[in-house]
Amino acid sequence: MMIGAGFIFAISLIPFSFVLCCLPQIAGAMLAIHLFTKWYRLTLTYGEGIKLGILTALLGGLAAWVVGVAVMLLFGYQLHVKEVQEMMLKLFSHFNNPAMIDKMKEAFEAQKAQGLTLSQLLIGLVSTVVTSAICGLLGGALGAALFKRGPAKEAGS
Amino acid sequence: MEKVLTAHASRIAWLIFGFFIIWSGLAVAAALPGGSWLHRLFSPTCHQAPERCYEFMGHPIGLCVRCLFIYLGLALGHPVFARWQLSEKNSLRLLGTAGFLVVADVLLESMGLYDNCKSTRAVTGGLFGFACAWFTLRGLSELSFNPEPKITRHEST
Repeated sequence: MMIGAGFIFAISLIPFSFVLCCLPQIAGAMLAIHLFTKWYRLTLTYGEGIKLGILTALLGGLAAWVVGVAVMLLFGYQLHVKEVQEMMLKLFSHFNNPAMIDKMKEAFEAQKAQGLTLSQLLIGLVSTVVTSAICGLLGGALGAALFKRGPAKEAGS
Repeated sequence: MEKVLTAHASRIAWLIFGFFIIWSGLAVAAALPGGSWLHRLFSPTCHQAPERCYEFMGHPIGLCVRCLFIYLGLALGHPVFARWQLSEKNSLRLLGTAGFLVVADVLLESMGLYDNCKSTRAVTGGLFGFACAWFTLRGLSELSFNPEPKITRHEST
């Protein structure tokens, strides 16, 4: 579980990793199940796979969120925000709407000046918990379906 | 017992269906004025690139086309698989086909055969979410279904 969570955490630190959507979290949950079934030579039920997947994704996602908040509070630097803003401006520039680009730049500046607010912290936490749970659910169920090694445990045992 | 299990799976399925419909609805609501906090809610697991999102009232929604349809596929798949009994082997075949189509879509687009085709991303993403639903429904039903009656021990004095 720790290796899967570490994988999710490590990927989240890479700039532009957000383009991978939920793939790192699903892959991290599947990695945890792959290693668990490999080391203990057993087949997990779907329920157990889901439990392990959700815990792995939550651990990795929350660790990344805590580090992001700590860096913001200590150094006033938001991880990957610069990359996200550059990419947003580049993508929106295709619409040929200079007024919209100016508005976006103003919004980015206002966000930077505002710093980290309590509502942003709460939204970030809720978002991390819900999305990690969904990705862990998917990764856990798919991992249990794909990695079967050895005797299956009885459901509910 | 089989009937009880099916009824239980059906309840779980409709609960999950409701959750993913609300989740997708929130993504659409992110396009409304004042919905920027909803964009932040979806940002950890979706790149939200505007050119890859559907627009609502002239603004991009909070999820890219593929992510939105994965969630909608998941929502639809749960009640369908609660009613329609599919074997594990066939579910794995369906998942393999859906996964292959997603990978093929990504590869073909990156090779430049077509550019930003939202309909292929919607179909492949939706099918993938639909295929995943069989596994998540089975796991969640297993986790929440406890056929064993609770045993209360009465100490005799």
